[in-house]
This record gives sequence, C-alpha cells and structure tokens, in this order.
Amino acid sequence: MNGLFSSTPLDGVLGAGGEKIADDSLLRGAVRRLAKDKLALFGLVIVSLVILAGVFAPYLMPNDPVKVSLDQRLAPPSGAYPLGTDHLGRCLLSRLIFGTRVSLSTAALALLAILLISIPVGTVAGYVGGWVDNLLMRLVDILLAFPSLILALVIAGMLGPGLLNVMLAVAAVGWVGYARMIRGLVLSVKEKEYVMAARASGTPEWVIVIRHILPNVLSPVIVLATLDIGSLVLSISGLSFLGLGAQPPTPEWGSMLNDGRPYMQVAPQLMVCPGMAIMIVVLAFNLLGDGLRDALDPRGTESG
Amino acid sequence: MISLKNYILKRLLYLIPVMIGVSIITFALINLAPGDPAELMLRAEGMEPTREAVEALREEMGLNDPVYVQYGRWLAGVLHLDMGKSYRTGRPVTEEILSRFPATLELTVAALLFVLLFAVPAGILAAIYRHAFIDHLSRIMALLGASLPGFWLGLLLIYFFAVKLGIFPVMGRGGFSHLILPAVTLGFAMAAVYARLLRASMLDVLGQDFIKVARAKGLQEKWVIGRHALKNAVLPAVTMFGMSFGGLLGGSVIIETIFAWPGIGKFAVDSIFNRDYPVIQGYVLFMALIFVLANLLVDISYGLLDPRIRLERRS
Repeated sequence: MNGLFSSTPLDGVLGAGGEKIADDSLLRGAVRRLAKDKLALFGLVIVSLVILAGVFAPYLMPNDPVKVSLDQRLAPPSGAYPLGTDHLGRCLLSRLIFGTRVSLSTAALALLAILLISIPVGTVAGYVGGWVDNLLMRLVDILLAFPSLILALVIAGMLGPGLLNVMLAVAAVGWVGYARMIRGLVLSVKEKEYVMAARASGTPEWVIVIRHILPNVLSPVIVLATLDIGSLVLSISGLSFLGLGAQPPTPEWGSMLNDGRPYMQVAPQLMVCPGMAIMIVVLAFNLLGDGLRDALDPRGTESG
Repeated sequence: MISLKNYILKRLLYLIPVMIGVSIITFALINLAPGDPAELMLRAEGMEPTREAVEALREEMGLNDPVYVQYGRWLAGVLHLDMGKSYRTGRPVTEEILSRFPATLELTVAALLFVLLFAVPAGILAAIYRHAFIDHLSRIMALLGASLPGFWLGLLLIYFFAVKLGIFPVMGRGGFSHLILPAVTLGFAMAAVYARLLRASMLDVLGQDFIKVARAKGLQEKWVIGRHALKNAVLPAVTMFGMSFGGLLGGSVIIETIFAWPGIGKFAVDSIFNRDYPVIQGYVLFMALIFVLANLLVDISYGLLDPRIRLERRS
C-alpha cells in the first residue's frame, strides 16, 4: 500500500495479547533470526548507507546543491556534474545527496511528533479507561473515518506550503493508528501481576505508568515505528510532489521529481533519479521492517 | 437473517456520531488557514479588498457570528446538500463535486479491476507453485509495490508508453486507452500487496483438512482450488479491500494530478492552491462519507460471506 502509514511492519508484533516482546532471550533469538534473513540484512545495509550519506552529505556532494548556473541548464552527465544538471543548472547528484538529509530528517521529525502525541494519548486511554478512554477512542474513530492521505493533504494545504507544515499534517493524521495500538498494549500490561503488586504496595499511579507500564510498551513501539519511516518518506515526498512540501530551492526528492517533469523528453534522468532514490530508501526500510517483524514474532508462520 | 439486519442498523446508527465528528473536523480545518476568507473571495473576484468591502462581505457571509453559529448554519446547509458556492467558479460546490465524481469513480473502479485481474491469478499461482519462479516474482512485485511512489510510477509509464512508444495517450480522459495508464498506476501497489495476501490465505486454506478430504475423494485439482480453496481464501482479502479503498481514493488525488484526469481529486488540489474553502470542505466531507460507507459495505458483505461472523456478532 502506498497510503499513509500502512504500518505493515507493526502488524503482528503485538504478540499474544501484547506480551513483552523485548525479553532478553527473545531479543537474542530475534537478532539471530534477523542475521539469517538476507533481504533484511540487505535493507539494513542500505538504510545505514543512506543515513551515512545524509549525515556526511556536505562532504559527499560534488557541487553546491542550490547554486544556479543558467549557462549549464539541463547539461548531460559529465565529469563536473556526474548526473547532469537540472533546469536551473544545479547539480543533480548533489541535490540528490542533500535530499537524503531532507527526506530522512523530515520523516524522523514527523515520526517523533507522532510518538509524542500517540504515546500520551494511548497510555492515558488504556490506563485510565472509563469515559476518558471512550472519548479518546471516539476521536480516533472519527479521524480514521477520513482517508488519511486526503486529510493530510488538506491539513497541509490549509496550513500553507512548507516542509514543517507537511510534517505537522502527516503527524496529525499518523498518530491515530499508533495511539490505538499503544492503548491495546497498555491494556494488556495493566493486568499483569507485577502491576497489581505495585498497586497493592501503594505505588503512586504515575510511578506505575512510568516505571512499569511504559517500558514494557515502548520498546516494540519505538523499534517498529522507526521502521515505519519508509511510508512516512513516501507520504512526505508525495505531498512535496504536489507542491505542498519543500519550497525552492530546498532539494527534496518529491519536489525535484515534480521539477523534472516538464523536461522528461530532454533530460529523463531529472525525473528518474529522484524517484529511484525514494524507492530505494522506502524499499530498504520496508525490507528491514519485514525482517524485524518476522524476527520478533517467532510464532509467525512463513510469510513469504 | 434478523441478526444481520440488526447489525446493519446498529452500524448505521453508529455512523451518526462519527459523521457529526467528521463534520466538526471538516469545518474546523478551514480555521487552520491563515488569511480572511472574505478577503480571499474579493481577490478571487478581482476586486480590491478595501477594509469596508471586506467588513461588508464578512457580515454578509456571517463570518462575524460566533463559531458555533457558523458551524450550525454550515451543517444545516450540508444536510440540505448545500455546501456553498465555489469562490473560483461561482457554481454550487455540490454540483462541482457531483459532476466530477463519475471521472474519479471510473478511475477507481478501473484500478480495482486491474487489482483483481492481477492479484487473483498471481496469488493463486504463487500459492500453487510455492517457491517456484512465479512465487519469487510475486514477492518482488509486492516489495516494489509497497515501495514505489505512485507518482513516480505514473511518470515512468507516461515516459515509456506515451512519450517513447506512443501507445497510449499522455493525459486526459477519453476512451479505454486513456484509462489504462492511470488505472495501472493507481492499482499497482494494491495489486502487488493483494497477490501476496491471497497467496498467504490460499496456503493457509490448502493445508486444512477439508482440502485433504476433497483431494482424497478424487476431486480434480481445478475443483479443489477453484471451488473449495479459493472461496475460503478470499475472505481475509475482503476486509483488506475495504481498507484499501481509502488508499485508492487518497491515491487518486496524486494520480489525477499527474494524468490531468478531470476528477474530484485534481479539482481538490487546484482548490487547495486557490484557497477555495467551500470546495475543500465539500471535498473532504464527501470523501469521508464515501470512505465510511465503503467500509460499512465491506463489513456487511463480510458478514454475508461468512456465517460464523454473523453468529459471533449476535452473541
């Protein structure tokens, strides 16, 4: 699915009623299983390389990604411009490399925002229960009644073009599924003996939540949310492609793709390369995510 | 069947609070926007937004009333299918949306057809010839499907099939040939995922006792697969179908923009850039309604297909 947060890596990880998954022996088993999964390892290698490329972008770029040289417009690949230049004479390769940084950091920030909303909401709903839970979950139901990409599109459109607004829009839509999942995990942990014991010995509620509930809920959520980055990259670049995200001259893959569109005939690489970059990054995160899901779910039957 | 009727009724009643919530959010969305709607409207009509003119229009549009009064008035209009007029075209929003909906529906249905035509054979074959070439191919397709940006796939298809080979028209709506590239683009991701889903549930079903019985009594393989296995394997796919429908509707926005397809998605994107608020509100509300109804239909058909679920829900 190309939709927002298809959260595929998250399905199935909840384990049997949300058992604590990151148990020591289990974790070791998971690492062992992951090490055997060649596709997942391939994903891990690509993800690492991409992150490194983003971090060290300034040292890897052959040229300034935003420097306009009108006399070099739409130049074919050459020594100075390994992938050629765009309609403003800017180095395509440099823009692609810098775009790694833009795409990954926006996706990571959107994810952070999603977790900052969904963890409190899901925890409160699951732990407090009663009318609070009811109210929050009805809100979730209402938000789920919108096709997510459409809601994100309109929120971004109303806030006005810009990367920050796109991140906010994606987060405003994306926290919903997480909140529901976290609530489910909290509900199952809440009934565990150690929580009851803590409560019986008079531990304050907030200490129970922070010390006993959250640590047991967060590890699977955070590990897998990280791997949901692929679908975030897709959504953000899609909105940028429509012109809502990154604004010129910021090199962002989605908007670069859109910029390259009119020059499809003379310089197809302007359209091919940014799309390829998006695909590789998303594919790598998906491969790693699938592998991690299988590794964390030892009961899982063969999935492909 | 009484239980099913009750179930449908219950679900329909449950839709009422959800749609009220949806309408509140839709209405509130407009307040996210910077800028004064009255001023925007004056500009759209090419008039100088002087302070007096803006103030007069605000009064006329009821923008000086408290928010809840504005919401009540808007909702009353919506219930009478009156969602105001487009700032841009001056025509009623309902008319604008309904006149463009057939194009979007045509595209979505064509995409769904493509999904079925691709996913059903691919899923069955991958299950039957497990670990053979076709199985690996379908796995690769599924991985690509989940990772390919739809807008990129669309442009690549345009580049190869319309620009280079000249087989299909580049854009716009027309006959069957206009439909193929956008429908394939829109449906590709879903088709790839579906094939894998169907394969998994086929494998699940094929391992069950009644299949062994069917084989043991000497039934031909085509009947085992076609009549016994497929019927049971399709069920999990039906729920996915409903969930994916929202994805298709959302995806149609981008695909319509790429292929200049004259549906509501493209109209909505244009409206967003023109800050045509009544159209945006109408679009969001309309899409949410379609989405919710589609999910309801899926739930009901799920109950119809599987009597076990019906019984469970009764208790």
